[in-house]
Amino acid sequence: MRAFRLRWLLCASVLLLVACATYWSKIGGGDSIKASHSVHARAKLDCLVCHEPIYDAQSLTGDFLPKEQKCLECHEDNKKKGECGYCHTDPTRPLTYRREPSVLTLSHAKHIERTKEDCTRCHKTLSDRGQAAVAPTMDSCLGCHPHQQEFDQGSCGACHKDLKRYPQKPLTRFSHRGNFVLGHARAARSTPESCATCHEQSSCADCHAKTVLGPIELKFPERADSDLIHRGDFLGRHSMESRADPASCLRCHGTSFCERCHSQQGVSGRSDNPRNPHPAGFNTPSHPQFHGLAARRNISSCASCHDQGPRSNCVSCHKVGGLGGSPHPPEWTERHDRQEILRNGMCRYCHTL
Amino acid sequence: MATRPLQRRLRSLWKGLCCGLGSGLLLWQGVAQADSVEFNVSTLLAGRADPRDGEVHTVVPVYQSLGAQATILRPYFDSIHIVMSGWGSVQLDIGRSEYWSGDIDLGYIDGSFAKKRLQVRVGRQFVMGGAARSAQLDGAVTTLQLYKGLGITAYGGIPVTPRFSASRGDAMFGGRMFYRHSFDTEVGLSFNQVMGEGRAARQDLAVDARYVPHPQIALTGYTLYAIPEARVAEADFSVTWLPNLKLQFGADYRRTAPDLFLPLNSIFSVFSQETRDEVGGTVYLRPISRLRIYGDLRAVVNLEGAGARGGVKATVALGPRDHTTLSAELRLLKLPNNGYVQARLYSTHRLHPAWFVTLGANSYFLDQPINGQGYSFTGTGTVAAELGRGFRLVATGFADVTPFVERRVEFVVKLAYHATQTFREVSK
Repeated sequence: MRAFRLRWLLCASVLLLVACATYWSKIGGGDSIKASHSVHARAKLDCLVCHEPIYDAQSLTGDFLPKEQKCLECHEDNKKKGECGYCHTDPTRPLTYRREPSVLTLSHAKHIERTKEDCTRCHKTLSDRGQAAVAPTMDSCLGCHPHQQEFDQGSCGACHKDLKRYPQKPLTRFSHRGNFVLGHARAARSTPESCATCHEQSSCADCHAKTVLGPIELKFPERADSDLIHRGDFLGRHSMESRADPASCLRCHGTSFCERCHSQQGVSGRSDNPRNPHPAGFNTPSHPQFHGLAARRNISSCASCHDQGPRSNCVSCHKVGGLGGSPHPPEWTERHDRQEILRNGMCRYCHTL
Repeated sequence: MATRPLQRRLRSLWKGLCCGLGSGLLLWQGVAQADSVEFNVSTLLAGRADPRDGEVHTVVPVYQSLGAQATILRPYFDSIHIVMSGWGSVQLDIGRSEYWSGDIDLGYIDGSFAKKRLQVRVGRQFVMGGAARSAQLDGAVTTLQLYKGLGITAYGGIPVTPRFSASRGDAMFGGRMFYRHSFDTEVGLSFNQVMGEGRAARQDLAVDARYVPHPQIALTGYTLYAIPEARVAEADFSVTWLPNLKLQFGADYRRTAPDLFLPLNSIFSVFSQETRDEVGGTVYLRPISRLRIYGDLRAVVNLEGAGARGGVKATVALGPRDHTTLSAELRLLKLPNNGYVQARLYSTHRLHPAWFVTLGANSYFLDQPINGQGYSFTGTGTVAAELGRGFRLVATGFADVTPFVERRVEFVVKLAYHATQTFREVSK
């Protein structure tokens, strides 16, 4: 019955999501201008006819998009005829342009002068009707501004105003495409300073801080698009994830983290009346589920309940002279001599001097 | 063993000193000296039913987080940053109890001197890179650029103890020598030691490298060697190839020895000698500007046998300004004895420049049922509003059907404030 209800729930969710996406894609977003760069270019209009204020702009701070008055110089007839939809996507809900913070130190005035008003030297691709604005890529800059030394040193401040507050994902060299959350450690381990060019330690702390208040999914519930590793019912699959990649868990969570929760759930060796989560044959040496074999294959799983130092129940059987015999892997004695018992107090849980 | 109380006292003293010093300097320097100050404040209210001890408790946690960063620029040094980030919470178990808590995530002073040749950071912070990985530390980190791209980083302090968990060590120190050929190409040799209960809990040597022979190709390599065990704890190699901006391929191989990630002072570190290998690839595709597809597949081999993990995710942007996205994701994990399949669908909508909505459905189908149930389902919905003047309000609802809870409904309301105050326009 529950499985049947779940199927209905899933189908209803999928339908709801698709319906919402379809409906909101039609009505959402507010008004925008359906300007087509290619149509204006075919009419052999110079860029500066519409974007006149950019001609003298020393910085990117300002209003450089044409006002309605500028459009009406050519399209006044459409407005008189009431054809608002000729330019506006949603004339019933008019909006002002959203002003984005400027992220680059750039003088259009100087560039226009040097390129002899050839805007396509930098703006190689222009947005068309219904498309989001397309900014020039950094390759466009590097065509004229070779700055290898600054690039090598990561001195980005000459052009990029504030990469930490307004980060721009690099398109090449440090590509952030795909599931970068999963693979970012590879870059961070070998080029930590390069990462720090754009990312504050606070962005690391959101996930990696040992002191963090809770899972990041709780902190940023609106980030549905992020590939966060504990999203959804992580509790239900955590045993599989830890079995698939124990090292990934242990990097952030010590075994005591596991043990604390397992104690509360009554499956830890520390629990007052622990339930036995082990399969049949766990204590039978010839059985395929024998605990010795399981421990050899995945010792972190054992540690998640039984890591209580000298009070661990492994010690009582596996100490020297105990029933369990030596628990060390075959090559252990090649790397550890008896002198270590003197140096390492932990050895003396089982060994005597 | 007799030294442990002393170590605890020293640790408390050190923590108190760091926190006090950081807070004091932030207040004093931040207001009096800073050229710019940035604030992030978040208030988060959640609510959920918590079934335990045979009763259903209504739990309402309230969190308050505060982050601040002051930047000071003067002619006689490059820059000084003072960073503080912390939180406090009260968890109300309605009608029964309340539990107060709080902590400091970051609290450090970071100074750059001599044209950024010397960088010193003191306080609670992260040590990144090499054998340290991303260790959170109460201590000091110094980086010195010796000659051209050659430099050295040295650090020492007390590892931060995870909340609700045991100590990760009493002391930690190490360093990394690196050669930074360029912004994207670097090689490093590092050492890290963690002391716990008077003994070495970790003692690692690492070699790391990243090389970009061409803007479209990136190679990375990392090897972590556990010195006391004379074994490789982790080896990781990857290549990323970007033929054009619409296509990206990746291939990687990773070997880990999971037992070496247990601290050496754990009794369980002497029982096993495991290896785990993972090899696979990724592909990213953007056939048209509105469609993005990402897929990955990796084979996993460990002492239990062979398995696989992978998935595919497609995101389509809709609407005149791509203000609506619809994403579908299918992932699987197959182990020799267990596994799951995940199906996720979510969408994001910017209904208005100030209004943002997300909806999501996330299901897992388990190979082996837990508590007699072989699936779980989580539905989420969020409404976010930009209130202006740096304020943002987010309201989220979650509904769960999982093997551990028959039904659960949870809500989160968040009010966030972000502001940057620039006192002087200074650039260096």
